[in-house]
Amino acid sequence: MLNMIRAQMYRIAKSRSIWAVCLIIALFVLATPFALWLYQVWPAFAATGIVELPDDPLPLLRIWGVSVVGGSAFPMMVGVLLALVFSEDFKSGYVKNLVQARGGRVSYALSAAACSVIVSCAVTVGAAALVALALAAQGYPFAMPTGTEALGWMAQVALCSVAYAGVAVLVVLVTGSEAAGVVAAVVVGGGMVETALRLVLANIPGAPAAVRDCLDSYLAVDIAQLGQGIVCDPLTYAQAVATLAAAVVLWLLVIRRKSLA
Amino acid sequence: MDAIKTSGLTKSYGSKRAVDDMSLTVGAGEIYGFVGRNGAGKSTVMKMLAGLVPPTSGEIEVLGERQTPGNTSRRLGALIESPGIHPGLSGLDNVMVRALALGVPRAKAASMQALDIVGLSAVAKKRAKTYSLGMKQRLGLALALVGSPDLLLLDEPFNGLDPQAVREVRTTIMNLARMRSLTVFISSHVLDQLERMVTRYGVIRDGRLVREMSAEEVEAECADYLSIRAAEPQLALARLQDAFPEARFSVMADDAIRAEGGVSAEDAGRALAEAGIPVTELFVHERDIEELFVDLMGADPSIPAPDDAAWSQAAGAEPPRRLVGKGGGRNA
Repeated sequence: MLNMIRAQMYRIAKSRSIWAVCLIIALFVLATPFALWLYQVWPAFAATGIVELPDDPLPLLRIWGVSVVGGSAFPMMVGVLLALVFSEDFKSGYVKNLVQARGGRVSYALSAAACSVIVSCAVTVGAAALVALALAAQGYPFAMPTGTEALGWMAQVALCSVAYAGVAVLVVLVTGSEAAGVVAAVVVGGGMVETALRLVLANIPGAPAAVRDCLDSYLAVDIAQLGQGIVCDPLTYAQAVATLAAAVVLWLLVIRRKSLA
Repeated sequence: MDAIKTSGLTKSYGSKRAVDDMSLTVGAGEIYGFVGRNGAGKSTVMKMLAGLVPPTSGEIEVLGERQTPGNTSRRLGALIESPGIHPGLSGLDNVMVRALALGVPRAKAASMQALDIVGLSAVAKKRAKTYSLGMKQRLGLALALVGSPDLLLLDEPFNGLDPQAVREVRTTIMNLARMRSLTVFISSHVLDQLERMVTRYGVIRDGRLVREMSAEEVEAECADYLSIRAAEPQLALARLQDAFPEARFSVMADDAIRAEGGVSAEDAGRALAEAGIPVTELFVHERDIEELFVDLMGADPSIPAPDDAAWSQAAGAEPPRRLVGKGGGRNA
């Protein structure tokens, strides 16, 4: 499986379309630092009140939350990125060349899961570093989080994003369609599915409280907290890992019998 | 150890059996030509061997290892229908990804070697989307060759190639088979190319293996022969056997005598005339490989036979030109 992970990461690193999506993500996360720059250089913009600076120094964790996660766009974009990565294998038929490797289809699916986590972590760390560099370049003093807080926040953002992306990749595996995967990434990563399910569960007459409230503190709520720069409780890790694991089990069930020709 | 062994291999799509209870064996080191008309099931068999399509039932052994449905051996390289290529990656990167996945040592060197074998080393750094159809086909062959497989599955590998490239690919395959003891399982409609490289043939019709023949057997069946029809076939046969003891004679179901082994029409006619045996038909029959396999594959009912009568009715139309001499009879 390690060989398959190496192969997939090599392919991802060499893919121009993937870097193009990463560029879009970079532009997105730089929107807040850009607004802070405008606040400094353009008094008319500062007067609009769009940006409200807290007392110095800026809490970096909060800025990360607003810039990177900002309204669950980040999980959507990570989902889109991973849907594009794996749909390329099916759209081009390249997956035919990979199933002869040791472990075959199972190795492909598990390596896809590993690569998804790696990519999500890399994009999260890269986004956070980009924001910090942008603030530092502008001379904004910011309050550094502790190492534990910073790592915890980044890990939770990466895991929650890749958990949602797992559903998008599942749609790609089932349909072989890039478009379907992208739609799934937007709908699921944006929290719409979870919100709709929560509404449905809340309105089932006579449903036990455990069922009715089971999604009340699930990933969408975690993402909202992370978007405010708040590190969630450890249950977030379990929820994200469990969601991704469930998605990967379904990947395995689908890919075992799927025609790859 | 056989390179490929299938037992009762079947693939059904709904009520249609694309491959029907196929038991096939390909020995190590053979170049096996798999022949059948469009829709006969060739590609389906190859996809199952390559692990791309799980069989409905039956077993597959590749290089002595029993394969679970949907999986195949790491020692197999395949080019099935269109090559699966990432258009946004260079030719080298496409091959590198597979080399890395297979765990090939010194993956970059191995990838360049595979590209060199197929004649793409000069364009290795160019993106695959800029390649012509023939170059993409060769890249697909490089993908199959990287990692030094022991078994190659090639489904229509000559698609899109110009004559020079066809010859180069054919020569490459034959050299690899000879130097590396590579087993090749190849399907192609280009029979004259198969004829130059294959050691054994398998003919598939309607999902079933209908005939297997060695290259020598095909050659023998395609040899020229003299066809003689006489008023007294048994008497004529005896007379011919006396006159030409070194030749081979056989009597067909319709009482025609087939003579092989250098008997000329003039000599046969003279021998029978001297014996007072009337000859009603005497011609040299030339049969080529295409005719042999078209008979074995069965006619495609969707393709109508040429209708000379219809042509002659069309005002001022010339009838279609028939190829005579090869594939037809010639009166002596």
